[in-house]
Order: sequence, then C-alpha cells, then structure tokens
Amino acid sequence: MKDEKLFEKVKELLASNIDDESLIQNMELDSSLTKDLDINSAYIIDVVLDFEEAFGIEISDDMVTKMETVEDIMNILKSLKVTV
Amino acid sequence: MIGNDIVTFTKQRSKERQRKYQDRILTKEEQLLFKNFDNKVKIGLAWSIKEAIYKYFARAQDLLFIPKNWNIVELFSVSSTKNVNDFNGKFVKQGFENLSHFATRIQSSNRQIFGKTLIFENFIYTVVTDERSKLDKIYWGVLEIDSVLYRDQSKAVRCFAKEQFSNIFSVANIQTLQFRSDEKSVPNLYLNNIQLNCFFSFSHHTHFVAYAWI
Repeated sequence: MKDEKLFEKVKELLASNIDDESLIQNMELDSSLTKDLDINSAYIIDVVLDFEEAFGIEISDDMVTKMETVEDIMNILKSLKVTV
Repeated sequence: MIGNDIVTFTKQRSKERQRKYQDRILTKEEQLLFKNFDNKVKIGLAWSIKEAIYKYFARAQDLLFIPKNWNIVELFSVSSTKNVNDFNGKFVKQGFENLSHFATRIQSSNRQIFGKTLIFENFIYTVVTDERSKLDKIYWGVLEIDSVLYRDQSKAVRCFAKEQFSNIFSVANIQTLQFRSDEKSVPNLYLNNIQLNCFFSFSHHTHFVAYAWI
C-alpha cells in the first residue's frame, strides 16, 4: 500500500517530463526512463530537481547515475526515507 | 573515438530552475566560461558538450554519467560568413569549415578532448574527439523527423546514418550495411555481417536526430 502511494507520486512527478499520455498510463516499475517513457537524457536533471523540490531532499550524483527505471527512483526515495 | 549530442530548445524552465540545473552540471569555473550566454543557450550548450563527452568515453568503458567529472576549460567562438540558421530539415557535412561555431577543450583526469558546437535556431549540436585536427575530418549530419518517440528516433537515425555511410564506404547494396547493438546497447556497424572498425556516435532529441563518424 505504502509503495503504491509512492509509485503514484513518482508517476505524477515524472508525468511533467513525458509528452505522450499513453506512456504515463502504461508506466510500470520496470519502465526505463529513456527507452520506455521517452524522457530525453537532457531532462533527467529536471526529473532529479522535481523530486528534490517535491520532497525537500538532495539526490547525489552517484544516485542519479543509478536512475534508469521507475523502480530505481522508488529505491532512491526509500533510501532517503521519503514518506508520502 | 567520437561522441556527439543534439539538444533542442523545447523545455521551458524558470530562472530558478535554470540556476539549479547549471549548478548541477557545471563547476564554478565552468560557469564563468559560460557567463556571457543567455540561460536558455547556456544550459543546452553545456549539456550537449557534457553528453557528447560521455558518449565519447562510454563506447570504450563502463562509465557513470557525472557531468562535473569532465571540465570544460576552453570555450571560444569561431566566426564565419556562413550562417548555420538556414537549416531546412537536413544537414550533411564533413568538418566545420566555413561554419560559425564554438570550439571547446575538455579536461578529464589526464586526457584532453576537443569539441565543436553549432548553435542553430531550434537546437544545439556538439561533436567531440581526441584531437583538434580530427574535427575537420568528421562526417556528421542532422535530420528533422516527424516523431518524437524514442523508437522512431532510434530507427530514423540508423536509416539516416546508413544512407550516408553507404556513400562514404561506396557500398552498392545498402542492405549489406547493418547496425547491431552490443550488450551495452552501443551500436556497431557491420558490412556483410563483418564488424567494421570505425567510430561513430548517434544522438536524438525531440524532432531531430544526428550522427557523427570518423
């Protein structure tokens, strides 16, 4: 349940960087940010900043390099003790 | 080796977001080098150079993309009478002679990388390699496409490059030329099922795809 709420929040935040509504609707935990969700690499920093601002956290460069899928983002947020 | 990147000016960012973005990818010293560019160009320019460097290195080794690990130590304008803003959907070139551009030098540990960047009306395009003199021998091209989907961009850049590479290699039957990606998703070029030892780089962003080959 907790994870579902976090997933919905992640989905909501990622949506602002995704043009195609169907990609947002079909988002899964293992969706690749670039290949499945069509988020260009130039926007990954925007994604990071969106999460930092939404949760008042700092995501390190090392963590950014591990952000390939939706699940990776969830794991980073959990490791930073983010609550929804 | 070679790396390239294309960045379009489609993303709208607030001033605060632009500042945070540049803090994330540029060191304090680099920010001084970029200080005369307006924010929109600054971010696109910085990103395209850093991503092109990443692609340059990533082909040869597993590498994490940490933009501040590569320092842009030189960035200067090279003027020409030729204006690159007259892009009409397709650009196919060798070198950068007679094109106004920005030349750059990047320091990474004990390595120096050199690059050239063109600023068009809708996008920024950068190519980097290990010797400044090689930059004018590079074959490169930019194509505008209808779709913005990753799979379409990926397909389009391969078709576009295949068309151009078949001319460079004087290949009569274009079907004998193929791109196959390795386990790291790095594309390699094959002629009659034999892998060719050549360096190239693909990039795409929104409606634009690009290749560079040396």
